[in-house]
Amino acid sequence: MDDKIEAVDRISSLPEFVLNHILSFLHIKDAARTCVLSKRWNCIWCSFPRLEFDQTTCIKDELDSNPEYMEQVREFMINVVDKSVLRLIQNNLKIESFSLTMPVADPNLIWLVDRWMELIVLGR
Amino acid sequence: MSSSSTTTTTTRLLMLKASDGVTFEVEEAVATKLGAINNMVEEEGSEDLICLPNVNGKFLGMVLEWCKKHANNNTNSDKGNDEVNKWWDKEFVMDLDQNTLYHLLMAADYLSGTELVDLLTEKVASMIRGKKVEEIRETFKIKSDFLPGQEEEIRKKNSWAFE
Repeated sequence: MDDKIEAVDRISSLPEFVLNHILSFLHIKDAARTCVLSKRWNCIWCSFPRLEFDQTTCIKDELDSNPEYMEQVREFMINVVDKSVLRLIQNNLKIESFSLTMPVADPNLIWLVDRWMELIVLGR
Repeated sequence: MSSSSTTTTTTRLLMLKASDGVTFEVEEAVATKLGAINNMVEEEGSEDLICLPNVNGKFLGMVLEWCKKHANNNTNSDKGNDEVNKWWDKEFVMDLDQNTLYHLLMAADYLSGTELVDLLTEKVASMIRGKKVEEIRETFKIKSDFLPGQEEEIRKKNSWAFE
C-alpha cells in the first residue's frame, strides 16, 4: 500500500510558489539542476525569482588561487549571472531578490554590476 | 477590552471542523499559531466553531499536533526552548512519506502556518540538496517528459550547474 503511494510523484504537483519556496532553501547550483527533471520543474526554474550568487562557492580548491584559475572562475560567474538576469528580464519575469558575492573588488566589474542593476530596476 | 472585570486568564477553547467532519477542540493559543485561524478569531470575535473545508481530519490533526508542541514549548520561558523546538521539528519531519508531506504542506499553506511551511519546504529541499538529477527523479518518482534531445539541450544551456 505504502509502496503504491510513494510511486506517485506528489511533490511536482505542489503549487508554483511552494516549489519556489523549496528552491530558495537550496544553493543556486542545486536549484538550477532541477531544470532538467521535467517540463514542470524547468518552468519553475526558468521563472525562479531569486538570484543569489556567491563566487566563493564556485572555487573548488581554496588553495589553488593562481591568477589564471581565479580569472576562469570570475569569467564563469559573470557569464552565469549575466545569463540568469537576461533570462528573467527577456521573459518579462520579476526578480524578487538579487545578490552577488565576489571575493575581490574588481573595478572592471562595476559597469557590469551597474548594467545588471539597471536591467533589474527597469524590469520591475 | 475593558468589558471583563476578571483578572484570571481563562483559556478559550476553539472547535475546528475538518472537511470530513472530524472536529478538534483546541486552545486558542495553540490554534492561533496558524495565521488563518488567528485572522478568523480576530474578525469574528465570539465564534468558537471554525469550519475548514480544505483540510481533512488526518492532516489537520497533524498540523495541530505541531502547533501544540510549539505553543507549549514557547510558554515555558526556558532558554533551551529553541533547541527543544528544533529537536521536535526534526522528529516531526523525519519519517514523513511524500504523500503526507504533500498534504501537510497544502494544509499548512492554507492555514498560513508560516513556520510549518518553512519546516516542510526545507525538508523537501534536503531531499534535493547535493543530489544528481537521476537521484532526485528516483526520490520523487519524477518522469522526464522532454522530447528526445531536449534535455541535452537544456543541460548544455545550464552547463554551469552541472560542473
